[in-house]
Amino acid sequence: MSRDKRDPDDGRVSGVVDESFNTSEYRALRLLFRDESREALERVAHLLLRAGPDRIDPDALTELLRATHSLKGTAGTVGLRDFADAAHRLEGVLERLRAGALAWTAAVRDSIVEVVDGLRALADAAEDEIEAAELAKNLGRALAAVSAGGQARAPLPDPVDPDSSIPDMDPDGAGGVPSPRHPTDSGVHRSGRRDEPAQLRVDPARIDRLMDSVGELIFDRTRIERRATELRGSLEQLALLRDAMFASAEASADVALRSLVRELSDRVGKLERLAGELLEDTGALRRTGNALQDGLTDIRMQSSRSLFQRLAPQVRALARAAGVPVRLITQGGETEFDKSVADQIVEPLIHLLRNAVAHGIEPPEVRRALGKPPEGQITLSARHEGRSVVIELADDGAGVDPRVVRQRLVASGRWTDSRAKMASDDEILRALFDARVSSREEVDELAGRGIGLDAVRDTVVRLGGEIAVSSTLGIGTSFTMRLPQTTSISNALLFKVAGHVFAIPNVHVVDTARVEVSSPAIPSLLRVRDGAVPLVLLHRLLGAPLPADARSVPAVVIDYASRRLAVTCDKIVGPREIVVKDLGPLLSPLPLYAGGTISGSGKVQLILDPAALVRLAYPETAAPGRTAGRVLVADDSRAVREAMALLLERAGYQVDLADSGLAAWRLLGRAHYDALVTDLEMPEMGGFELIQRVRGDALLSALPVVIISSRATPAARARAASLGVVEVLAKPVEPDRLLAALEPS
Amino acid sequence: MKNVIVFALGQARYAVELRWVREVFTVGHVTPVPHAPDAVAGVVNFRGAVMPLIDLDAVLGRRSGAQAARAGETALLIEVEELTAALRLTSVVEVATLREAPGGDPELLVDSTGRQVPLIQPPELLARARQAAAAAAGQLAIVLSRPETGGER
Repeated sequence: MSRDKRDPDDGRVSGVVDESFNTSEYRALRLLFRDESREALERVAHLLLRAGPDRIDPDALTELLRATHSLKGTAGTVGLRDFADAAHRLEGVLERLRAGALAWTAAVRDSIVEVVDGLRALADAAEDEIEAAELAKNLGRALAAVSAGGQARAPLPDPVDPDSSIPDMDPDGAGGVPSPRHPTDSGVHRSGRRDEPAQLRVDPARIDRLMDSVGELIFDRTRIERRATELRGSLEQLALLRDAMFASAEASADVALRSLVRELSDRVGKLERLAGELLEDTGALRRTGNALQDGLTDIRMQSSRSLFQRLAPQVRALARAAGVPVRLITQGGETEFDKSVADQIVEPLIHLLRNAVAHGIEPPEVRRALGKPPEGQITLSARHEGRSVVIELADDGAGVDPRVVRQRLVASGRWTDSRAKMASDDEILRALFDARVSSREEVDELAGRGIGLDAVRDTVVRLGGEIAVSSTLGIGTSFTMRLPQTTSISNALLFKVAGHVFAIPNVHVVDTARVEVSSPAIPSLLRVRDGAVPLVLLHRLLGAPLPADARSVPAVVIDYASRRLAVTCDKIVGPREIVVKDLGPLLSPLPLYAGGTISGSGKVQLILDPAALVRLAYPETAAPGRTAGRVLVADDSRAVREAMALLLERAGYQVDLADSGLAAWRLLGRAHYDALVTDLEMPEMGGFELIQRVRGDALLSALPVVIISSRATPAARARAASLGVVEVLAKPVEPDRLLAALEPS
Repeated sequence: MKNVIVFALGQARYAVELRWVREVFTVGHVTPVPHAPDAVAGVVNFRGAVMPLIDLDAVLGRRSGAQAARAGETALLIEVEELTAALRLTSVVEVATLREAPGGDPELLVDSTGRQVPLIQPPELLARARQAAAAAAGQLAIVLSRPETGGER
């Protein structure tokens, strides 16, 4: 056992850990950290706001210290040096407060609140280095102020998301409204507001990110369902085999064989039960996932009023530009629908409004001559019909003359004379949505309708809706859109292979590149910006030839579960927001597809599952038995657990994770482990209690144990030594030292 | 007596009971699905939902190998419990109430011209398609488990 080189409590974070993970791993770990730290910082803010202006409860101060210290260790582990340094300095201030070297005043408290806000902003901005640097600078000033006893008020660091900060900070310091996430954990309420339900204002971007995660969850669920079904299939085969074996073994005189086969038979029976239960569990997962999606969609619901409010100024501007007085009447402002549907539909609506103003509404003098009021009227209404939202946009303008459209269709050679004659007026009007018709200006001018109705229809179709037009000459035109009330939109990169468009979820796309394909042999690795990645010929997988004359083709670089690969294609179409559709029970078992989506022109496009592509690029992970050993990691910070898992898996270990001492204890009873890596402070059961239990267990008593802790005090070290712990490592853990500690001596 | 739709698929005629049929529609763009079983000729957009297009000949084993489906074909939307699929066909012949053919075979009807028409059973048809899909998924899993990168042009 080697002595720790560093003073365990001098937690200044060295640069050692920065090289531990690659960029995307850091990104993932930091996202975990962001969520974790948000919770911890909220608790800290809550404690601060509950403290009075002239004294703080010593227990609260201890709790503050503990939380800060633990955040420091975790931040260091995920490589957030600025955060860890700031937390370290804050810890110093809190230590001084505890020792009485610094007096607790309202100014000090407010400065600490600012520091905590700064830490929160810094955690949120972890992905944006420039912003993070700026925030760290502000934070430095706030820390300097608090060290100076809160005298010089530092400028407030800009929180990334002001809406997410603690609402209603109490200026007189008498107490705070508890954080909305824990509405019942404190009786402190401001008088007069007691009965108001707590409202939470959230940046829609956050909900969108959650929605993306739910989208991923649904992809994952589909995959699990598929594997569970596969498993059951294999087991059915196995059961047949077992029955055959059972029959012949029972007939045999070999007693040992008979008992072996009986045992085997029992085990297979158990597996079958488990597989059945697993399938039931995936059903539960499906229900929960759907409930989560519905809940989030519900949060995203907004009223049509806000949509109308975005459109009103547009109408005024358009009317001014066209020199036509127009009145906009809106109806059904209380109709609610999904914000993402609303966002998508704004442009098409502006387009229709522009057309109505520019081509529909006649000039005032014409209207007077026709006996119409001089001011044109556009009515925009929204209403629910079943699970759809119907948006209607009607003007009282000149209307579309089907005869003119009919003439133009024939004159331009788009339609034959007989087809145009046979067609009803409705069919003729529908032809306006046809790209080849509506994009022709002469048709537009004559027909009194603008360009680009095809684009409007595409958007509506892509959202899974329908659009219809009706018009009466001299009376006006009305467009009716029927849209789904909700939709699950996610971002994807679209590309073409052999004339068909495929999609890959954008979160898994890191880059695009080009592949030389002129030589007969195509290399198995593709050089990209930061190294080389395996190259999968998607053409071959999809049964299509590489384009015969191409010297090079585009490739999409994908990162899935920290594994990178590139796939070939014919053409990158670009990123799009897509509405993900289920492929249904018939095609969902195909492991290559994660779903489908409908293009603007109504074609189905398949979404490829990156998990399937990764399997082509990487051989199956080493079978158990070939690993360096199986290690159990217990830590209540998910970021730390995941970081340790990455480190150890890379070194060849098979890793299991537990979020408490109790969870670790249960796992230890179920499987054989070669080592235990544990944190000390954990809920349910702390590290020392866990180690004591291990030492007291006949089977486990010799298990090598390594402690990772942000509280690696001399006392803790002494106790660890008495329990035969191999090594006590201070967080952030240096990978080499952890691996060295795990080496069998 | 059974209420059925009689349809033509190539030269052959089949009947399917109306209770299974939700709609008759014209197929738009057909997207092929690489590695899908022959029974599935592709997927189509049916009012915003992705619908598999079932090839009856392939399901019944009358023909092996996929046959490209085209836009403009007619299809029946059939629904059996939670499974909905489109059945491609050449044309709808009639909607009629037909009696069973003499001889007691309940799966054989007689149409208005006295011609015998086999009765399709959608539950059985979709169960077969499902089996074919599971087999195709197994095949694909094998393809995917063989690591492959790069290769000959």
